[in-house]
Amino acid sequence: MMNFIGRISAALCTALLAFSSVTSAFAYGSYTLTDDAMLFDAAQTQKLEDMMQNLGEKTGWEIVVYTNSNYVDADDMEYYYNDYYDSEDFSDDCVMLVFDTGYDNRIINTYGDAMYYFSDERMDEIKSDMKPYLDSRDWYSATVQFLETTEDYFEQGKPDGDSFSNIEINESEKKAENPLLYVLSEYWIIFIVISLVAGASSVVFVYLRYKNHGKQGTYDLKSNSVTNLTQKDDVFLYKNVTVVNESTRSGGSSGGSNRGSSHGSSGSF
Amino acid sequence: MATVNYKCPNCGGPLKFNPDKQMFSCEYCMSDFEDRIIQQMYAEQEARQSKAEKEENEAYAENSVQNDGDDVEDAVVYTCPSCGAEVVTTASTAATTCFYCQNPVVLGGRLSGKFKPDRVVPFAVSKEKAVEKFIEMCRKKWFLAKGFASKKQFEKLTGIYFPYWYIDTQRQADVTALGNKVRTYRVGSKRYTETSTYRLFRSGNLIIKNVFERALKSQDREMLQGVHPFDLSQAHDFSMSYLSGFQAEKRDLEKDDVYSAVQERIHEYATQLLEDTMTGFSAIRVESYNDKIDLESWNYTLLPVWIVTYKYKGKIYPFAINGQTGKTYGELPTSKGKLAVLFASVTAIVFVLAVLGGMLLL
Repeated sequence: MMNFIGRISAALCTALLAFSSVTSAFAYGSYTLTDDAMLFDAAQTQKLEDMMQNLGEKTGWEIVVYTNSNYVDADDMEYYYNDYYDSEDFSDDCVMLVFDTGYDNRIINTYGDAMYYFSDERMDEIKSDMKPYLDSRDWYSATVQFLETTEDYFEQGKPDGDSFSNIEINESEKKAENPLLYVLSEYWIIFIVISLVAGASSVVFVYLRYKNHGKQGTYDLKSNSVTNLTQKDDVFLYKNVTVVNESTRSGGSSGGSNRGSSHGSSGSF
Repeated sequence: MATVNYKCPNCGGPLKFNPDKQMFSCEYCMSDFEDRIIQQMYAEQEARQSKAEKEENEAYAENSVQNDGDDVEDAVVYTCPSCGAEVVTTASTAATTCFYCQNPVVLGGRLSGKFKPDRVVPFAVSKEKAVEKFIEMCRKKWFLAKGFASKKQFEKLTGIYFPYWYIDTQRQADVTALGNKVRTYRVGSKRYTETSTYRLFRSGNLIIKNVFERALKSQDREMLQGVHPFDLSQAHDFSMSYLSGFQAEKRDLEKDDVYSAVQERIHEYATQLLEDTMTGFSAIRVESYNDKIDLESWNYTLLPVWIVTYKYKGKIYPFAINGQTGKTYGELPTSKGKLAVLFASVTAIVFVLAVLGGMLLL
């Protein structure tokens, strides 16, 4: 009996531990290092993983470093790797550094709460801090610089007064968060113009009705006339045919562009 | 100036035509008399005085022709048969009330000879009913200026017979027009619009009745036209007795003065009637119109109108009530405050609806 209870207790403790470890993994952040381009050796990989784990635990964010040779154009980097973020199902709060060695492009994408630590000024700063290492193809040092600077920014907190034009909030998220605010912020000018036109039209309508009171219907032609037709000819003259090609495509749009999750981005550099 | 003064056969008090009863009533002894009785009684007097006035009228008509284009209205003095006072009227006034003793007086000569109307539509709406109709109309007008709809405004409401020309015409008319028939169909991804053009010819005998035009230039044309329609089937052969108790104007616009305007309107009506027979066409463009008049009659008709001119915030508003049907006509003053409230309310409601609609469409 005691043995059975002991086993049950052990199983419960194991389950509890497993659950708590998962919870803490979400709570304290995590990291993902994917070196498809093989830019780092084993020792560098180990050091980077240690740094990323520490940073992840400290910030509660998921730290992602992804190297590849996907040959993505500079203009497409932001949205291509935004889709990558969505497909990999990384954490909501995430900072991602990508080295695409195909066309030698780099990008930093930020997500969730992490977006608000990377103002435009800080994005410019982190890129210029990494630039000397990137120019000399020292990918490891560039990555270390990225991780250290990210940690600095976290410690400094969210900047006040900086601009955040690098952040693009997903339309559907904006709509879902506060539909009223979204509608007002997006269409307030149109609504005001429509409302003013409707208000002015109603006033003009009433004013004219009052001004022209009783002017209508003074003569009823139908009840005061008789028509006896003696001749009726309809002669066909000519025919015109116009042809319009109609598109067979069909579809619709929700109205706003939906280019993946809300995110901040350094842009390709 | 000779006058006719209709007096009660019972007490000698002034007789007035009563629109409610469609009879002549004495306000003193409360007697009522059918119109044919009064007309018989006064037929001889009307005829005698009309004859005396005829020459005067003709002289006036000639004078009018000579002074054609002048804006000066001739003032005419007459003697009230009841109190003997001298009263001044305009040259077109045919019936009025003595300013001193308030007795109704008909200036018989003004409506005799060639100026004798062919028919008259008697008042069917009394002054009290006219005011009632006006107040009732005002109740439905939420944006009227405050104070406008008071009975005090309408104490000066005056019943006036206004002169009109009524024209009945029978003519042969023909119209040539171009008309389109449009057919749309689809083959695969192509949409075809086939427009067939036809030359349309219509010819027929048209009868157009009761085309009207004012015969008094001194009054606002829009008002005199806007107070229509009248039911001419209720018209009586003209008798001066119907004017007793009301004011009346004699015509100062002759047939020639309004002929071209009337013909233009008849052309429009005739074209419209023939166009209405061109069914099944989506667009009709009239190219030519011709007509030949078979018959045309012009009737000089007096129509009853209650009229008042009121001043509101420095602006003068004429207002008329059809004396037969009670239809109201005239510009109504609006309250700027109420219009501002309307503007704000509609703007706010539309804004809220637009926002809600926008949210639903998300």
